[in-house]
Amino acid sequence: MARLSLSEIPHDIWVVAELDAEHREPTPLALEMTYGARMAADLMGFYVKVVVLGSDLPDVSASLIQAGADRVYLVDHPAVASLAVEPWLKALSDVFLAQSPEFVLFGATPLGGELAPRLAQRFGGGLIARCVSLRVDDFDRAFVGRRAAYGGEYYEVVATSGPAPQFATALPDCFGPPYMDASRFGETEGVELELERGAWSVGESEVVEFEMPVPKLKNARRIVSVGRQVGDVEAAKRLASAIGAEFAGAREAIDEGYIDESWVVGITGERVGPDLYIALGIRGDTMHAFGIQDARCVVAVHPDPDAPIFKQADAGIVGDPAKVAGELMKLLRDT
Amino acid sequence: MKIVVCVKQVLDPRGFTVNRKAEKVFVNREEYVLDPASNVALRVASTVKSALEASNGATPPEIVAMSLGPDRVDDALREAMAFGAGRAIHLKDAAFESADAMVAAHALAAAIGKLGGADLVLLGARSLDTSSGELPPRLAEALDLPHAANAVSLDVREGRAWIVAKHGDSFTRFSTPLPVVVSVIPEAFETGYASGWRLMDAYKKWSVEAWSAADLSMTEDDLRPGAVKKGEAFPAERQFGTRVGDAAELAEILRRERVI
Repeated sequence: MARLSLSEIPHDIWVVAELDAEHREPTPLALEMTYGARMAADLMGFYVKVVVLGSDLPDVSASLIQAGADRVYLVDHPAVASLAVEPWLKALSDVFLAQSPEFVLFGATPLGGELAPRLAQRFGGGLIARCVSLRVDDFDRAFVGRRAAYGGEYYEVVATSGPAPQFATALPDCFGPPYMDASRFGETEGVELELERGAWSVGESEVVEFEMPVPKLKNARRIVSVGRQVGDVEAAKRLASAIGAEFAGAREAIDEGYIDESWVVGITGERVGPDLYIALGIRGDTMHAFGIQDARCVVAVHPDPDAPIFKQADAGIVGDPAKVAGELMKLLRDT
Repeated sequence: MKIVVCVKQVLDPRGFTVNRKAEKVFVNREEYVLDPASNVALRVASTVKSALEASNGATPPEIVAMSLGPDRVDDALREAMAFGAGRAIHLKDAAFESADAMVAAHALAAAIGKLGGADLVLLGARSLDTSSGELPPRLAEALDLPHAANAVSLDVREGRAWIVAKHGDSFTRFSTPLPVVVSVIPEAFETGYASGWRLMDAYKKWSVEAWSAADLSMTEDDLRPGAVKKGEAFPAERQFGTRVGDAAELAEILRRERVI
């Protein structure tokens, strides 16, 4: 696709709002983005323009206006009834060509994740994908956003630049809950477009069953995990079997011969989310920390009081992991 | 039949630690590895190639691996050859140093054009480092091709790609005529290792071609990134949890919190 250029100097901030499939009203993320756009618009002196696409659209503008939209564009066309991407792309390119947006916000949804990069490429614009926070910098006239690196262990700060339209996709909570102002006024406008089914002929699609390979620890409710400092690994294994837990380890436990490749917890292994995660002799570096972010309760035993694992643990004991494991086994055996 | 696999190299997470208090990423060992999603894309390409060979296609399928980046990317491309790529192309130019996904998509699309097009372009859906998923749709756009996102299964026959893709919590099956860009979800496939012998051959016997921005006839406009990385930011430092004296006290807490 040849690159498209805008005829006018770009202006205003746009939100592409998706509708809840069931209730046919703007999703919470769409309202949150509209509110985020409102804050940027108040700083910059923009209008907030929201575009909604679908077939047989109900009047969805009221809540979008309350969240901060100055104008809501409704593209009502049978071609955008399904989520086939091509008519959506055509519709949005036509709207953007006619309206010259400076900033465009999409939700970081499956649809937004497809449309935003394609439109950014089409208009020669930068994109910050999957922002956990985002603002418009009034000095540089640029989106500045944070996106997660290595599963959220830290963030990369990324800035887009003009003069082409600038794009971002936002994750939920990027801006915080919207302030719904019932006294706000806004306009609603229907947009007539010529849309076709498109040339990318995808055959009939059907919903099918598919078995994703289930990671070994995915459904484990309790995990006993070991690291280099565990001491007597057999004590840890006994604890695991006594409380009905899976036995796993940090990557370093492979080097010690305690576990094999398929039982590693961490960035290069599995991300787990058990109710109880008992870390025995694991120092707890970044790689491992990533793997246990979703665990409900983390217990750590390590001889070094400064081990980073204690910062992730709900309860920690500084001491000999094997000894504590043995005692704990006796205390918990009957539960 | 030409299959292009675009691969990425990422900083090995085993080599760095994130210190939230100091707000720094400490790189202890600066090593780069083939992104797990690229590993899977290469393996899917080999599977497709073997299936096509078994069904006696008219022209033997060829796998071309491509990557954009500095000198170190050479390792990723040799690994790709060890995984079965017959040809590896390194898009290497000082002008690519500031490349974002937009410039990368331009360059990869231009390189695929220079190859005379591809029937199938394969990528990982999300990389380990940024997980932005930005490149596959951008590349599809630059090539003016459809993009089958989040594929969990791929089969090529009779000039069509048969795909099962993940949509939220469900899966759909569809087919689309070639050429097409397909991005694969790494978790849906087993990762694997390249054979050691092939890896040795990749370094000793085979060579990686290098193409510059000029080779790809890229203009200054094509090379200007739309987004730049400004730095890092860090979540709040984790707080120490409760320090517990002994196992008895710990067992008590676990019971009280009803986790056991």
